[in-house]
Amino acid sequence: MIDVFAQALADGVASGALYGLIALGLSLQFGVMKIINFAHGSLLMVAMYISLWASRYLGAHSLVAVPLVAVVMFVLGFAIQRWLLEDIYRKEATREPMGILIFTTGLWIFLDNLFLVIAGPDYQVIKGDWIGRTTSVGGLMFGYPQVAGFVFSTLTTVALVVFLRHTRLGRNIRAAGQDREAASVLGIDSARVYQVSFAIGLAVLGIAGALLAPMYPVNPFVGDIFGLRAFVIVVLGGIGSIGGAFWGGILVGVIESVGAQLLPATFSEILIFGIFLAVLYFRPTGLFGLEKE
Amino acid sequence: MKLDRYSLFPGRQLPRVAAGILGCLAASLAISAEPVKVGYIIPLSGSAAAAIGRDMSRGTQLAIKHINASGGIKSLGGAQLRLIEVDSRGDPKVGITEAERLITVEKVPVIIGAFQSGVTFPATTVAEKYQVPWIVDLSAKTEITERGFKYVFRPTQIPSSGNADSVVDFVGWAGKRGTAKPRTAAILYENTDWGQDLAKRMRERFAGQDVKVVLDEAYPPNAPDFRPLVLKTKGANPDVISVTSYATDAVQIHKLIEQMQVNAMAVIGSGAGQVDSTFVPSVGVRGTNYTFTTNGWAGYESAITTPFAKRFWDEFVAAHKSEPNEFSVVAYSVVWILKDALERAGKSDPQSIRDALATTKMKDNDVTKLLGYNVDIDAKGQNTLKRFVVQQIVDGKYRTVWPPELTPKGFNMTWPAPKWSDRK
Repeated sequence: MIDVFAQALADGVASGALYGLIALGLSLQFGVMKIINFAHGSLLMVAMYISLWASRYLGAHSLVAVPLVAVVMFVLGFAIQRWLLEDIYRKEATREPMGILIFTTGLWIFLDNLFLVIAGPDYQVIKGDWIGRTTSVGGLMFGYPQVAGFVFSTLTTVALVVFLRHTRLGRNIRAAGQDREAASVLGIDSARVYQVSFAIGLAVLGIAGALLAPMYPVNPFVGDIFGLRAFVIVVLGGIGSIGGAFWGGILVGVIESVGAQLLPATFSEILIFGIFLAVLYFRPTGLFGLEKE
Repeated sequence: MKLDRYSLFPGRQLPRVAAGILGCLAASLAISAEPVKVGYIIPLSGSAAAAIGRDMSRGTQLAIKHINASGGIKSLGGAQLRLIEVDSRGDPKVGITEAERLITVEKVPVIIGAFQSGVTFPATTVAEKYQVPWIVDLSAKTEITERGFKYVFRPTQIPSSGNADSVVDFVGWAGKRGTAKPRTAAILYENTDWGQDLAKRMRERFAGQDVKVVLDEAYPPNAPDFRPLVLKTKGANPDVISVTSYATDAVQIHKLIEQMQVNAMAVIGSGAGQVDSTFVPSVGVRGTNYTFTTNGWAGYESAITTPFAKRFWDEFVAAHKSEPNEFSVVAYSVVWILKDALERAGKSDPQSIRDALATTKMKDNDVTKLLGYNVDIDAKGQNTLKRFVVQQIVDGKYRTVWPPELTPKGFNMTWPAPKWSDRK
C-alpha cells in the first residue's frame, strides 16, 4: 500500500511539472501584459498537432521535435501579438483589456474548428518504440515519456526563470510587466517586449505540447481539457509568477494523483476546484505569489 | 411580327410551349415518386465518439446507396431514400435542436440516431412530441424504451444491462472451465449515463456469481491523466478488470495497464472504446493482446455468410480501406429495417411509418443473419432478441469466444492472460 502512495506521489509530481509548464506561458503573458489569453488551450492543441506531424511526416523522434515545435510556436506567437493583438491592445491601453479577452475567446473557437476541418475529428497518437518503455527507480515504475515530461518541464522552467532574472531582455520584460509607463520612460520598447513575451509564452507552450503529445491522444478539442486546468494553476500559483505556476502545477498533479487513491476519481475535480475557490477567496495573490504587485 | 419577338409567348408558339411544359410535368411524375427524407443525427465531431459516428455514418450511407440502386422503395413506386445527416457533436442541446429542425423545417417523416444515450434520450422526446418515429441505433440507456413512448423503436440495441450481463455471464462461464477461477473484480467506468447503467448491473450480477467487487471506480470522461486510476486498480489487484470507456479514454487506460504491468486474469472492455477501429492501432498489438471485449456483433467469420452480407463487407472495405465493425454493421442494418417498414407501410407519412415499425418482425433473413439475431419489436418498441457476444483480441484480430457456439473453428481462448513480464 505504501508503494501505491509513493508511486502516486511521484506520478503526481511528474504530471504536475508538465501541467505547470502548460500554465507557464499563460502566467507570463498575464504577468507582463495583463491580458488573459483564452486561446491558450487551443494553442496547446496546435502545438500537439505540430509535434504529431513532425513525427509522422518528418520522421522526427518526438523529443527531437520539442525544439522544432518551440520555434514554430515562437514565430506563431510573435505573429499573433504583432498582427492580431497589438492593435486591439493599444486601443485599450487606458482601460481594462476586455477586447483581448473577447478576441482570444474567438480565436479559441476558431482554432478548434479549423483543426476539426484540417485534421479531422479522430484522436491520433504518436507512435514510437520509446513511448511504451518503462524504467524502474527504487521499486517505482515510470514511463519514458513521463520521465521526459518531468525532466524537460523542470529544465524549461528553470531556464525561463534564469532568463527573466539574469538577461537584459528578461529584465526588460519584467520591468514592462511591473510598470509599463515607467519602463517606456526608461527607453524600453514596450511593443517589442510584448511581442517577445507573447512569443516566449507560446514557445514554452510548444515545449509542453510536444512533451504531452506522446502521452495523450491528440484531437481538435484536447486543448479544452488542459486549458481550464492551466487557468486554475495560474491562479493557485499566483498570477504572473513563473515559479508559482510550476509549484501550482505540481500541487494540482499531486492532489489529482494521491487524491484518487483515497477518494473516487471523480472527486479530484471537486478537490482541485475547491482549493482554487478557497485560494481566490482567502489569498487572491496565490499560494506561491513570489512577485507581488 | 416585330412585336411578337419581344412578347413572352409569341402567339403561334403558345400551344407548343404549353404542351412542352405539361409533357415535362407528366414525365417527372412517371419517372420518380417523391423521395423519402430520412433524418440522421450522429456525432461527427466533439472528440470521444466522433470516430464511431464516422463508422456508423459510412454504414448508413452505404445502405442508402444500396437501397436506392436496387430500385428504392417498391411499394412507394420506387421512391428513393434521401439522407439528411446532421452532426450532434455529442451534445444533447444540439441533438434536441437538430431533431426539432429536421421535423419542422426539413419535414422528415422518420429519424435515425443518435448513438449516444445522452443525446438520444432527450432528443427522442422531441420526436415523440411531433409524433415522428425515431429508430434508435445503438443508444443503450434502459429508460429510452421505458417511457411509454409510441414513436421510439430500438431494433438493434438492448439496454446496457444486457451488455453487463454478457460480461458477468462470460466471467462465470470462463471460471468454470477449470483453468483459473476469478474471485475479485474491478469495475472502471466513465461517469456518464451509459457507464453508470453498466456498472450498476455488473455490481448486482457479480455478487450473484460469487465474485467480489474490490474496486468500483467512476472517472470523468476525457480526464487529463489516467495514471492515478490505473495505479489504484493495480493496488487493488483484481482477478478481472472491466473497462467501460469510449475510445480516447480506453486507449489510455489499456496503454497504462500494459505500461504499469497490471496483471489480471482478464481485462474485459464493454465494447465501445475497445471495438473502435482505432483501438488496436493506437494501443498496439502487444498492449491489446488477450484483451476481451463485449461486442454487439460476432465478426466476419460468424456473420458474413450471405451474398447480401458479402456485398456490404466488400464494398465497405473497398471504399474505406478498413473493415466494418459493429457500428457500421448496425448502422447499415438499421436502414434496411426502415426499408422493410416502408415497404409494408406503402405510405411515407410519419404515422404510417410508425405503425409499420411497431409491427417489425424479421427472422432468418439477410438482415438478421448479418446482425446475428432476429428482430421482434415488442409493445415498448424494444427488440429483446439482441445479444452481446464476448470476443478476445489476439494479434489485432477479434475472435468471438462466448457464447462458445459462435467461436470460429480452431480458435482457443487464452484464460488467464499471461503476466506482462512473460510476454514478448
